[in-house]
Amino acid sequence: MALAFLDRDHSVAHAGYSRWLVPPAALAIHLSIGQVYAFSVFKNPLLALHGADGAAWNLKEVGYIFSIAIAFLGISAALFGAWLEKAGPRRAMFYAALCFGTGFLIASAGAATHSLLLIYLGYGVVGGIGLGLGYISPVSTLIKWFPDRPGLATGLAIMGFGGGAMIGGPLASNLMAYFKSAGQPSIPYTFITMGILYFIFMMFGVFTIRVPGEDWKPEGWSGHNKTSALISTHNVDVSHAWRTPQFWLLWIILFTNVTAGIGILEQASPMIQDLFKGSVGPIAAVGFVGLLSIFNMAGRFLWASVSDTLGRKATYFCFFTIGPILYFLLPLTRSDKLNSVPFFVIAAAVLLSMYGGGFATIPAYLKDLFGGFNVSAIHGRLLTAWSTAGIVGPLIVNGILDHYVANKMPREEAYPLILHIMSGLLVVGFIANLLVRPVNEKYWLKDQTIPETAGAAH
Amino acid sequence: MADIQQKSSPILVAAAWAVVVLPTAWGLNYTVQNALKIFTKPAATTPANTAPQK
Repeated sequence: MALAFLDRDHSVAHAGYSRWLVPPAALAIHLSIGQVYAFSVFKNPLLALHGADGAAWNLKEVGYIFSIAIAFLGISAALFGAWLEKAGPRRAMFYAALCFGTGFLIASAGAATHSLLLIYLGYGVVGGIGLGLGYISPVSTLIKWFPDRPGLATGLAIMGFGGGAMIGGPLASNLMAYFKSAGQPSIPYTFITMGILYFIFMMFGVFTIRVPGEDWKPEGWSGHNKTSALISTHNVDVSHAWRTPQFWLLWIILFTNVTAGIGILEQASPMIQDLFKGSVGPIAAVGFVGLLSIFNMAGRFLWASVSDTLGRKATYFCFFTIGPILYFLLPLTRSDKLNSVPFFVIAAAVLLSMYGGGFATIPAYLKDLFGGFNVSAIHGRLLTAWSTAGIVGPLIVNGILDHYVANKMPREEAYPLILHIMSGLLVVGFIANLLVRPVNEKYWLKDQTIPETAGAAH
Repeated sequence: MADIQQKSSPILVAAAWAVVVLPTAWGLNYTVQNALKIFTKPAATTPANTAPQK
């Protein structure tokens, strides 16, 4: 078969294959799909498009494109996680590249014909499936290559998702400017170019990814990490994992951490301008958003790496103690109180680092509790917490802001309420994290011949 | 195991990292340049007719 190279058997690493070739493969996927965080650069150009009848789209309609993509990320990660464990990472990454690239091409046709439905289908549904497949595809492979440092390994890859916007944003802006100056339809041509470029970049990951051989382990590694009651030496099948209280506690942990992060991310630019009227303008606000994206990315790597020595529960303990305090103090920094832009910026940056850190540490937390056997599939199901937070977070933020605007109250008065709700949500996360205990042995896989570093079919 | 591990060429490993690090560095530089603007105070009073168009 032409696609036989995608088979798991063809992606087993030969003896001597350096495990340090695997993170670049994972990063190629995550840096590409992380482009979704920069989708906002297309908003104004899409709003400026007009159909043959002169019709234009509104902000709400254009906003649904991103929401659909994130929803399908969660749905596809949950649905295809178990399949990925059998098919192997290379096949999953190939389909991710195909879906993500094709999604751009379909969206291009939508922009060219002024069909929002085609854009929803392309970037939202097809591209969103690519996001979900791509997000989970390298995770368990990285954990198997780095059983001695699973947090560092997954942090590296998931850092790429945070950093993808830093490439996708300026790439899209520059391409649109280029095609516009060349007198070409800027959005359709930009979508086509990005679809092709991202497909090629992701294929680098497809060709580079390898799964370790069955008996492989890192040089000098004893086969066991630091022991703890919360680091299981047993495996739990995905069909049992999601029935455990631990799965749902981790679901709440991820949900609360993401929802709180969205409280800042969703309104970062207007929030800083509203809270510091006269001292922070639109250009500086763009800089603030850029700074947050850097901390979001760095936090993914740093916190996940720290969790290898600190422990996952202790790492989330930090998030859920520092986080509520900072969210509570954040409104006090505004111009009519402390009037401290640096305090606001630093606090927001630390909060965003913990938002990213929460994403990146969760796969290693899952691996600790449920073993490495089905970690991608379990991770996929857990990502429904992200999709849910992606809906609930903006609902809280926009709902409160709309209420203040509708009642002719100053917008800046809404932020303390929003940020204090986020603080409260993190307290819920704190309790959930506190309740995490080792998985009951009744859920363990009976066949303990499955090696810790090998997956179902890896 | 140590001998086997060294079979992947370090140049190949460095090249693979370069493929992902170079675009990231480009994006990071672009973002940092923008982020620095937050620490630049806007002009206190700018006459309307001399304000930049964008």
